[in-house]
Amino acid sequence: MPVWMPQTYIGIQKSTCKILFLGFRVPEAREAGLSLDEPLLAIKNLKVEFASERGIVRALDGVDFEIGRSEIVAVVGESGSGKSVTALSLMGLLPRTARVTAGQAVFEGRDLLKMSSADLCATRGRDIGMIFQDPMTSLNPTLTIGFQIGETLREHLGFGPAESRARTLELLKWVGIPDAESRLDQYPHQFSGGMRQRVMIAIGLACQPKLLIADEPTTALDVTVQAQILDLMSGLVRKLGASLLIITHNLGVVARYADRVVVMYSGRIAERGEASAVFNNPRHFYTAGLLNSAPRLDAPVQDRLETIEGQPPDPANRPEGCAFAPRCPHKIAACTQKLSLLPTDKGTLSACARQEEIAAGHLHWGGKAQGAEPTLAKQDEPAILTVDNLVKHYMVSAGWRSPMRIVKAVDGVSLSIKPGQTIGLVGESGCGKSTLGRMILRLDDPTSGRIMIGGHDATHAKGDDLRQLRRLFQVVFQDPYASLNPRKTIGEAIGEPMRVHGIAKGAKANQRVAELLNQVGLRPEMADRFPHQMSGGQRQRIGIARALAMQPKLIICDEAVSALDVSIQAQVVNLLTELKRSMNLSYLFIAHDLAVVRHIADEVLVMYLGRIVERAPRDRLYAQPQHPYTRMLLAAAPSPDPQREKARSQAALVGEPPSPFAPPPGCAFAPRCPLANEECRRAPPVLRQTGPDHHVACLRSEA
Amino acid sequence: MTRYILSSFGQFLLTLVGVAILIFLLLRVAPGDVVEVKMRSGGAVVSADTIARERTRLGLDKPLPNQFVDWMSGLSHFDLGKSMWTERPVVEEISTRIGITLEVAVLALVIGLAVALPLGIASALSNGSWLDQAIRVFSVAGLSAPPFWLGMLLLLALLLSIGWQPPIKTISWSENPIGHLSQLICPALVVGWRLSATIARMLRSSLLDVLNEDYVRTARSKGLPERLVIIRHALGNALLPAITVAGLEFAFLLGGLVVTEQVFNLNGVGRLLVQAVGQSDFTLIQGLVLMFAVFFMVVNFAVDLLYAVLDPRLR
Amino acid sequence: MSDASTHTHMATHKALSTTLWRFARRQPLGAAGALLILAFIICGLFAPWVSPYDPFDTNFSAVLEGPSRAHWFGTDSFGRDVLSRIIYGSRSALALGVTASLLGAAIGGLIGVMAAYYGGKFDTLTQRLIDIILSIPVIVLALVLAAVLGKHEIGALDLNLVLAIAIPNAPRAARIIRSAALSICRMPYIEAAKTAGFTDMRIILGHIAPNLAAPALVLVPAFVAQAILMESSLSFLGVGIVEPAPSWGLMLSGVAVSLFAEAPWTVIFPGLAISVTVFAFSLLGDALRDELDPKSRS
Repeated sequence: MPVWMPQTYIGIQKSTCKILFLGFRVPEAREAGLSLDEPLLAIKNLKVEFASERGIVRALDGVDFEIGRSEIVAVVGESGSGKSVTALSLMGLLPRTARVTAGQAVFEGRDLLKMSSADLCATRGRDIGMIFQDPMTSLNPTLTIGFQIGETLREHLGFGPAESRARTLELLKWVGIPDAESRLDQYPHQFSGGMRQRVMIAIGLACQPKLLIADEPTTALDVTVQAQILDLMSGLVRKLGASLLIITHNLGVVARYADRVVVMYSGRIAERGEASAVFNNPRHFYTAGLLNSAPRLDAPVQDRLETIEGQPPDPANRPEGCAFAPRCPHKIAACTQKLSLLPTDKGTLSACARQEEIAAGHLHWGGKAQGAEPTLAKQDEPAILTVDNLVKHYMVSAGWRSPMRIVKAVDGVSLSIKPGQTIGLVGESGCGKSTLGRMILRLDDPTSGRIMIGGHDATHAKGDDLRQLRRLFQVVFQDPYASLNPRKTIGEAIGEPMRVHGIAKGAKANQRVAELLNQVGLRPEMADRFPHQMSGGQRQRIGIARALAMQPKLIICDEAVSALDVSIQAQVVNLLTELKRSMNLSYLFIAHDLAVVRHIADEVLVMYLGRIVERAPRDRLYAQPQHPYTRMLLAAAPSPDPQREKARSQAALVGEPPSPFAPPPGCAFAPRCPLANEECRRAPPVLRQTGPDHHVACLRSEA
Repeated sequence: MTRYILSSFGQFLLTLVGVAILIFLLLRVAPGDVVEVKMRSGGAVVSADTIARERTRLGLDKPLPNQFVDWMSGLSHFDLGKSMWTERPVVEEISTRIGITLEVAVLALVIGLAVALPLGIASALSNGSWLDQAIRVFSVAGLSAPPFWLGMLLLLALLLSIGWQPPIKTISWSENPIGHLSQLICPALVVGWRLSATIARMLRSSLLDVLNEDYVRTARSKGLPERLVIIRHALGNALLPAITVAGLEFAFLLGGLVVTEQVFNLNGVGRLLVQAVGQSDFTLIQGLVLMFAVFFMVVNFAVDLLYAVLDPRLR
Repeated sequence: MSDASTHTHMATHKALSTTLWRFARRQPLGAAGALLILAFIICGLFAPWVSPYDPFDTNFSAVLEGPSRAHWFGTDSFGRDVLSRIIYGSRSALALGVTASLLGAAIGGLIGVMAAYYGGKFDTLTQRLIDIILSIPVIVLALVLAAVLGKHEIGALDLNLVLAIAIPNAPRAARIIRSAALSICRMPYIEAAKTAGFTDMRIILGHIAPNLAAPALVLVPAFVAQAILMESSLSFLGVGIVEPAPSWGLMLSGVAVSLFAEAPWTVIFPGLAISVTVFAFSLLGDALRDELDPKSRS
């Protein structure tokens, strides 16, 4: 038996012999006279242009890299860097407005970009599989899972109905879908996001391709599921001896798996090479900046996150020389010349003009990190916000057949925030953290419980009373594109609340708007612009300025930095920290990213399925997490450090958050918990104190 | 499912009662009086006393709430009262004429779908090309021409080319099946064009939407030939909204026939309504409006059920 | 000061003309529709100067004459000039079509926005009412309304006919605007406005309504097209505009029906006028939708 034979296939070979033939695909390539030393895919000077309203925009400006056999290559870049365009152009899946203007993509001796559509169809799905970002929309809602997986087998391998069904069943088991037999005939909407992504992996690997392309495969998934999917995907690819191309914006995601890394910036490659070399000894300032600006769980909390100032260039207006130069603190005259990728001391390739100086240790990114102490709540001061046993229940029906059910979106949450304090509220999607925020904002009415703001009962305040109370608390939303009215100028957006509440009028209001814009790091002239003329990061700053216009005591940040690129995210986190210091603001910082919360919060609350499961001061929570769920979250959070990532055990990561429609009895975490016993399944545990200011809702946290 | 059907039926009853109240009130505020129209038409001189007696006989002198209660209690056992003009039961008046209208409607639906499906698909697949533009113009034209005028042009063309004229008298199916069909085909063509335009436009836009969906990209990434991508993955999903529109339009079709029947001399419910309105025949108008509403709701319900069968997310 | 204002004024003018030019280039069919509409409006406004004859002048020596140099579109059974009647007919068609559709869209739009913003009982109630009205075919309701309401002329405009056309269309507008408003109400910027403590009135008028301009702009041409069709149908059925007023639908009814074999021009030209006007409005509406609704843009 050949060594590359996947272990799982050994059992199948007795029942269906046809499945075995796929194990011989590597020799097949050998027969075709191709050397195994040659790369599986070689991309040379790839250029792609988009026709847009503003004319031709070059999305890819000469991209070169190779993928070897059985190699995992990660393409990393922020939005607009051209990483997804690269993947789509390989598969011939570019939108109609795009055109490949130059370059080659030689896959096993044939140029993918010049293939006939029939050849391309024969290659796609069979030799190259693909997995997309959003599992919720990537599967056809009206066809069964079994059909959609089996389709590839029937199309490329000529399987009959019975064979394809048998093989599809194997594949489902292979990607870890429990109860595969009965799930075969189900539709995508009956699967969770993580399960759907497993189905996508089954589709992508059905014909045992030589290359699997995964375009942001885990971006839409929760962090505990993300790690499972990545492990599954890379594990299967390694077993099959195939190659994997992962496209991602998150350096941490690929540190564990990637053999080689390609860092892209504004349609060009900034740096590429051996993963550990690029991560440990970046030789391009963009890579260094990107690595430094990501908040990390494995480094001490910094006073300020390192940031890359400014924003990526408009691809229609890209500088001729280094595209990163305008944001680079070390730019010199040579950076305006056209630069090409040159070998570095670490065997990688970098397009930075000053890579030798970096290698020599003359130049560093940013300054030394300084430790930051959390703001300690002053015991005597009255809380600005007190939430007491807040509950939100919805009546919903999941479909025609199912009866009405009560969904407990928030099920008895209490918290309080003192002036100048930041509370981080962490949880995965669907845990009720946003619903809690919306109730505090009085955008949703609570089913029961009490909300006290600045000493006033806001639970049922209405009309003018509520309008007066609203001056005390403001909000910054997640989506920078949807949180500004497209028909109002920036100045109107910030000025209107002041005028309405009589905080400032006329010229004084305009002056305040200018001050606020300054305060959030924007130029006062921007007051005349409309939101569509601003970038995502700028819009988020405007959202903050609008909140500040009311001179609030408390700002609720609902995933306020989640939609931003890493380098921009760091800028906004720093801004929030500065404002908090200078204005003695309090934040309720709602987020799913533990690392970001660690950098901003003084106290952290962890939420799971409508309840707080753990509450502790920041440093204590991250140093001594007690609830198994908190531990799981911390274990799952990726970090851009290959050594650390490779050493990490992920055995503990199992399952997905339960559906709020059918919560498990007792402790909601029990089905995924390694410590759970019978007692846990009886009744949901209550929060109990286990240390100074440390509360845990777990019966077995000491076990 | 049972719960859905029950709640739909509840809504159905509620809407029906609403329509009944609406049309009843509307007709009572009307200035016209059937008795006057009926007895004084043609300039006949009738004494006020006779008119009053006739009013009493028709129950028009009772207070409005009583009239409404009478009508509603009749309604509960499918008694829509008697026509104030012909004195025949409204149910009978309607049932003798509904057949021909339904036949035209169904024929129009068949024609509409037969035209709309290929046009809508071709239009979406050739998005932006001259073919797409031509199909769009054809569709907009179908929506722009008044059906009665189209009908006249069609009749004129038939008369001038083959000398065919629509029969004055209705030919029944049993008497002469071909003759029967021939009198249906022209109105069905006219209304069918209009119907096809709406469905084709909807199909075009929903197919364009679906072609941009991620799962179509997934299907392409599997290496399926474009033909299969469209037939299997795009069309199935794109047809769902088109079915809703086809259903809605079919439900409205009876209304569209009100004018068309007039041109083609078809003795259906549409013409009956125009007559009833002309004669201020309140009970008949009420009955007819209720019938239109019931037809609309029944078709809608059927479409909902069909949708549920076709879309696994609703099953 | 005045210098600056003229400057911005000119800038706006320039922006407007480039926007129009861009629209015309991207949507040639829509631009053609707009030009046709303009032509009809000019015809209607300057009818006395444009039309060769008085539309009411009967001439029994020239009854049912075919198209000729004297009467381009022929004459009708009273010897009236068909072309002149069509030109004058564009007045009533456009006036009725535009008022009725704007009225319907305004009533429906207002209800739609309120239903979307307030939700709850008001929404449920209006939705039920809309269900009720929508279950009656538009033409049936308009026919009954027109017959029941009778005539109530203000100037040359029959107000009741306007109502009969506007009311059946209002629920449609309400549906469309409600769903558009619902998606706007869920936008974070509206929630931010609520959080800023703005009054409902300020949020509806200042923040939601301006963002509904696009769907409303798409809606109106389609509604005008429907209203013109409806007016012609009602006039054809004899409950709309009555003789001797010149109306396209009316010209197709009555004698025209029985005589159309002998005098097809009395049928062809008025019907063509209806079709072309409705066609023009529909093209404009489609083009606006393609431009303004990013979802349908391809």
